[in-house]
Amino acid sequence: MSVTIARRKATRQVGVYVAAAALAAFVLGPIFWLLTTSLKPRSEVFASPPRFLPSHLTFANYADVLTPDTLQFFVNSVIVCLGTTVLCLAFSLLACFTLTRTGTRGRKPILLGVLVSQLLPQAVLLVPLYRAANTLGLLNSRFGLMVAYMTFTLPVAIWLLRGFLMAIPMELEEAARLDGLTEFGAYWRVIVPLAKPGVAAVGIYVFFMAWQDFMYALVFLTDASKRTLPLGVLALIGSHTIEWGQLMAVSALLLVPILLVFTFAQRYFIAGLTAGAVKG
Amino acid sequence: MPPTVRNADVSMSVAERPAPSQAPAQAVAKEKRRHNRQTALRVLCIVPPVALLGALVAYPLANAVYLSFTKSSFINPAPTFTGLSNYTAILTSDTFLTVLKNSVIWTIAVVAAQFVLGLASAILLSQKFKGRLVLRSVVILPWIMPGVIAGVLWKLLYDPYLGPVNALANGLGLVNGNPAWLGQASTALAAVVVAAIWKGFPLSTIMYMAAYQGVPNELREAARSDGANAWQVFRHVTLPAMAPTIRTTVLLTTVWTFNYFDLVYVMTAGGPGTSTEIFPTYIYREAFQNVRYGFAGAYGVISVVLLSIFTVVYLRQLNKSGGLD
Repeated sequence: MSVTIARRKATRQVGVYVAAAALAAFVLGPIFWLLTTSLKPRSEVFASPPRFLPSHLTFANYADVLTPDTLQFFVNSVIVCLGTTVLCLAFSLLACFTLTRTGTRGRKPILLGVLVSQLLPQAVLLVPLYRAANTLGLLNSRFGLMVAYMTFTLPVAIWLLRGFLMAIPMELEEAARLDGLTEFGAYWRVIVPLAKPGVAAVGIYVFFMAWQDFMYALVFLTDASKRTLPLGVLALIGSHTIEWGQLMAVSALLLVPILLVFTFAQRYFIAGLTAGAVKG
Repeated sequence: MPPTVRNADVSMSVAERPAPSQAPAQAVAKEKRRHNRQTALRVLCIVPPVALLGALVAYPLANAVYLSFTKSSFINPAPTFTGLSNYTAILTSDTFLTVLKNSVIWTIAVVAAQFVLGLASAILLSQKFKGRLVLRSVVILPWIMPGVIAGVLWKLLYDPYLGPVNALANGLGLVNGNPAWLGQASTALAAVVVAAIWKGFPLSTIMYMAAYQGVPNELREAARSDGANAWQVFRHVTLPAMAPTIRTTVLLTTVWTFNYFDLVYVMTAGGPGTSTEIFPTYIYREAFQNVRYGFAGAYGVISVVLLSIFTVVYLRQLNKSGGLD
């Protein structure tokens, strides 16, 4: 009896490890290929059939792509994404003051509007936004791109932030009011500081969304000096040959900030991810 | 002297009031001023964000609808009104049928696979085994990777001569020679779908892992002691408890997948021919390569209408669970 149970347990354990290995191979296989290709010498990148392991590691591809241009793209990306994060947090903190007040009339339609904007296809908004930006002289401008990024970041930020702020007990605000703070004072000096982890989660998520974008940058930036890193990646795809080694090296560089953010803020990040969406 | 005067008193007309003394009247006025100031501040705070969303979302949407009734070209970019002609041209064209069919296949295949893979990996990562914590933290990697990178990476993986896909498939005896998965119309869509599944499923994993671990263990124990086997416990206890998360996640991934642009654009740009063209990529092509804003607008409006089915279902579910209160 106990032998069969032990055996069943053992087969189960083996099954778990096999499944885990398969999952790891599926997830990490492509990433392994990205990293090894970026570290292969050119002759091995273009070997057919491909070599699964480089014969020796070289940083030549990284050296090739670390040009002033790439650095400029990198700086552009960082500026645009940080700017978007700051603007987006400011606007959503403002909006959430009103949207967290119970008994404000017109709150529900605004929330509905926020949600619907989150679900719209961005491609539809792209043409009118492009034409408007063209008229206003906001094409090829980092500021213009920051504003455009709020099209898809602001609704998400408002929605997530509201969830975090609503989780702070109402009594704390009431206590602050009794201590003589105004309604906004209580919000700004008591509720928002208490929701700091939530605010951080929203900020990180906004940065992440902006860092992921490619479509807006593609349409809004044509001037090479204003390009962000995703466009720099695409520019490496020539019409005849693709320098895969360099392409993978730039890709790895593009991954670094998001990995750093993720490693140091994984908890906030996951909180931001699961909090807003899974309320339903 | 009454200690405080509440808002209810403010709404009373003066005539109804039994001759108030000086002090409460002042308090009433003060309270009213305070209340007005409070309302004004609430309005003041909501106006800038709402105005911004109006300019960034509502105006472009309305403008896209307007453009869909007009015609413009590269040579003559000023839109002229043409009524429904864009819609009749689109709805009777073969390209529209292709785009619609591709979008439906793309969305259903990607969402279904992400659901199955997400659920399976969530359950796996909730079991006890060595290396679980490491696997849990790396499983998210494809999802946090920008779509451009995932696109170029999978383009390399699928490369007929340089990529490992053909090398592996040849080694396993699955194919002969070097098929160009992205280069032929018969396999391109399936190849992009696989890449999209890889890129997106970790989100479902994270969601379902949280939901799975949120199911109280006592419930499972109780079912087990009633004689339920592992499958029955899963089917009748775990799954129903996870249902709200599953519904939301599937609805959201459906909307996101339908709208997803980066991966397809980078991997195939809708080609070869129109074999991987979905709504977002085709809208982009019409607007920025063919410079036909009217057609792009009409395709956009059609895609919004199609999506609104899912949006309405999502909003109703959210409203029912009190998420909008």
